[in-house]
Amino acid sequence: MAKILVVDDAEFLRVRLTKMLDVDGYEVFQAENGLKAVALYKEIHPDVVLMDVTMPEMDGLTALKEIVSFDAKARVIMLTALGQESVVLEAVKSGARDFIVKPFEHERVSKAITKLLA
Amino acid sequence: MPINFDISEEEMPIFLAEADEHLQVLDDTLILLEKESSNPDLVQTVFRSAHTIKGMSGMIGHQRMTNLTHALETVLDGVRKNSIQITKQLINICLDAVDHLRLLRDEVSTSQACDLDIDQIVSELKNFSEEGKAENLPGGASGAEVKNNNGGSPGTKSPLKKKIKNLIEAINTEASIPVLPDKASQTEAIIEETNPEGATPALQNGAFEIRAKIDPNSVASAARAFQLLMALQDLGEIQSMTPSAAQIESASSVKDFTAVVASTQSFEKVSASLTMISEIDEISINGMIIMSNGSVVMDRSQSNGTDQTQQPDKIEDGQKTSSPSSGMMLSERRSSSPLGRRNTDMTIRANVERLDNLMNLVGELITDRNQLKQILSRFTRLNNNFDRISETITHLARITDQIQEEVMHIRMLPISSAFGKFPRMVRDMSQKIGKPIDVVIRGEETEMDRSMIEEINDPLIHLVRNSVDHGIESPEDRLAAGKPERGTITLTARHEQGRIILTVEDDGRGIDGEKLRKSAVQKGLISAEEAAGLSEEQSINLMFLAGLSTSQKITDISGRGVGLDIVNTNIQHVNGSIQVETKLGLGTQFQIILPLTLAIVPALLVRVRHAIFAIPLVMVTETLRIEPSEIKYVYRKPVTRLRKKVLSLVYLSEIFNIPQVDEQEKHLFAVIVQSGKQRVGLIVDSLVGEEDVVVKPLGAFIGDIPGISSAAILSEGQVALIVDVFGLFKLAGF
Repeated sequence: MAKILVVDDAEFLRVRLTKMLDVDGYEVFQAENGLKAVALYKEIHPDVVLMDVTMPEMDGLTALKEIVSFDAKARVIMLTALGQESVVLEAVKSGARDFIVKPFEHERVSKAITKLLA
Repeated sequence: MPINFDISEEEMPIFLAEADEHLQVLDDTLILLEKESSNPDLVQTVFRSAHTIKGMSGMIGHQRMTNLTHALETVLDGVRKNSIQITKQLINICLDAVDHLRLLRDEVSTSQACDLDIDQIVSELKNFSEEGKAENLPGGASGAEVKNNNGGSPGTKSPLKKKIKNLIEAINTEASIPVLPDKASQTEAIIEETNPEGATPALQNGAFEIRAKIDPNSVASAARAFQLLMALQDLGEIQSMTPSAAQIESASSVKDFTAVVASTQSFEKVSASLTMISEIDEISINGMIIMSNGSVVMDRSQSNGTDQTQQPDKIEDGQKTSSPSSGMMLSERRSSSPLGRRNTDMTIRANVERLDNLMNLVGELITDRNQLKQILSRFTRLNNNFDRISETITHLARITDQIQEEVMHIRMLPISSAFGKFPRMVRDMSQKIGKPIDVVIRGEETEMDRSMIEEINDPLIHLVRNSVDHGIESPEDRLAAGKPERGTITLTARHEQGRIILTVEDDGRGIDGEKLRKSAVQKGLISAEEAAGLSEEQSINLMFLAGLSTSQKITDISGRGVGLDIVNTNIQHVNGSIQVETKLGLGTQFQIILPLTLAIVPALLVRVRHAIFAIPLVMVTETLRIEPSEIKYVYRKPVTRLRKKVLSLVYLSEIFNIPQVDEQEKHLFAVIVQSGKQRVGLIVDSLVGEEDVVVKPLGAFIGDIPGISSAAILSEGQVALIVDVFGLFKLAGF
């Protein structure tokens, strides 16, 4: 069972994503900021990370960079929003494998993960 | 009008709580930002909260909420990047936006669309960000550090590159080559055409021509192009690319992406790594062969056209049926507060109704425990040996106490939920009336029963309004009196001896007892003689009289015809009391004393003839034995002397019409209760004891009885009426 790490400071988003991924049959882990995400990544080695950009403690971009420097093969999908175009580009440059724009449909998330796991 | 959002029942409370939390953060932080506009942490905090609300509202399809938060976030982003200055006007409009957001948030909980036009505020916010942009033009696009090692100029470095470049040009100019060849025969034809010599070409190197259409709806098409670029770099050497890497890195939008990459990888590998990228509507990958003679030809049928719908999006059944929840980590409920104030702790949500039920059951348990204790003491008196039972009952009592405490704690909320709104409220009011006022809050983490918080909400608002309106002087008056120009209102909360003490304090002009006396006489509330006999303390307490307002004019801040008497009534209602302390010219402090919970009241049980009354302990200051001879009459009202002061007395039997029995010779007891600063001794026949009584409402059948708030079942199974001290004072004419 593939492990997915969901990183978002908004509990609502975490809950919703967890439910989606639960339905898709993944094992879901949650972190509420970049700092916790990096720590959890090192511990559980998730197959895919869904990472919010704007978070307290440590933002998604920094966490992405830390994760990629720890594991160059890390599959991180950034969760972004309108107005974060330049961040997205930087994220992709820093090794993000995909990005999903909020609000997103279940299908979009499923697809992105399936693609990366293929 | 009903309105529906994409949100489930379980998600609802999470959404609402989280939205509330972020709205509160916005309120608080915007106000702080107004004062310390240079603090980048604050800017980051407000930005993040706006951003989070935007994300959440988007997920449930709340378009208006998303639009408004987007506009707000854009402004805050401008502030973050220093292109927008923080002004009072800016803070005002942002706070206004927060108010709008609250109404939009309510739409989610009520499923009713509110009649709210957000266009106005959105366009006002947009004006701010437009201005900011205009000022910041030279800054340019962010995050565009341009790497120039690739693609930018499809160089003239190697002959191979040159040839491929030529081929690209040929492809672009010659209509004979189909843009998206979909049939093997076509490409074969091309090979023949481009291989006029007929020689068997030696494979020197492979190359692929990539043509991709990026989803025009992608918010960051440049990033998709960048992903293509990165994938191609992994596969081989990019020979040419449109748009150039520099263009891509400038984050300008990209619709069509074309590139030629020299690669030794198989077609499958190339195809696999490129189709992994999302939001590519169409992609064609055409294999090419570079011949030994230097010519470049299209490869055999290594071409395809894919779009996303052809991707293997289905998840295998095996995965679907497995249970992932077993390994799921519990998440911490609260995201760590953006201001870092709240601790994150492991929590669950529980229905308030459930807690109420639990509390009722605990109440029953306490009643039983008390009865058991009572029964036991009776048996013990009969000199029987009941050690075992005694032990068990003691244990039961201890466990019951602990359960009671735990359940009460579940119902507790930090007082910050009541205090939190005041910085914003005071700011708005003080702006309106031109008095700069700071709000200081202490002990906001003090926990209180949630129903209590609801009950004291209005009184607190009233007291704070009062302070803003009447307490704090105008800046001119303050300066003239040698005080700092800015007034301060301090709200505090603390636990003290099983009670909660809240204070509302201002450093304003204080309350003039003389003025109050005059006003009360003028309004016919008391006679001139009565006024003359009042001490300063008693005069100050006049402010709790209904119908008294010393303010010269009615203002829309506090003068709404509701006096402090309502405050007093509300607080008494929850078995609390209020006291005023004031110093002319220096300020006023209101102190509210509350019990920890409404459901269980520690009470003093007293007997009047055959009836037992419970007096909330929080109201009782002391009890004393009193001989009938010590009771004197002044103006036909009973009084006694307590430490050289005159203490008014009230016979509970008279108040509640309990038939008198002639008991002249017996000594009596006075229970001294305090309401506000008014102290009265209640005359009772005897003191029964102290007990935690479980409050039971009297019910509609009996209805409201003046002087009685509710009832309780005692440990001996009797019913006791719980005295409403404030109501009693009124009954007795105090």
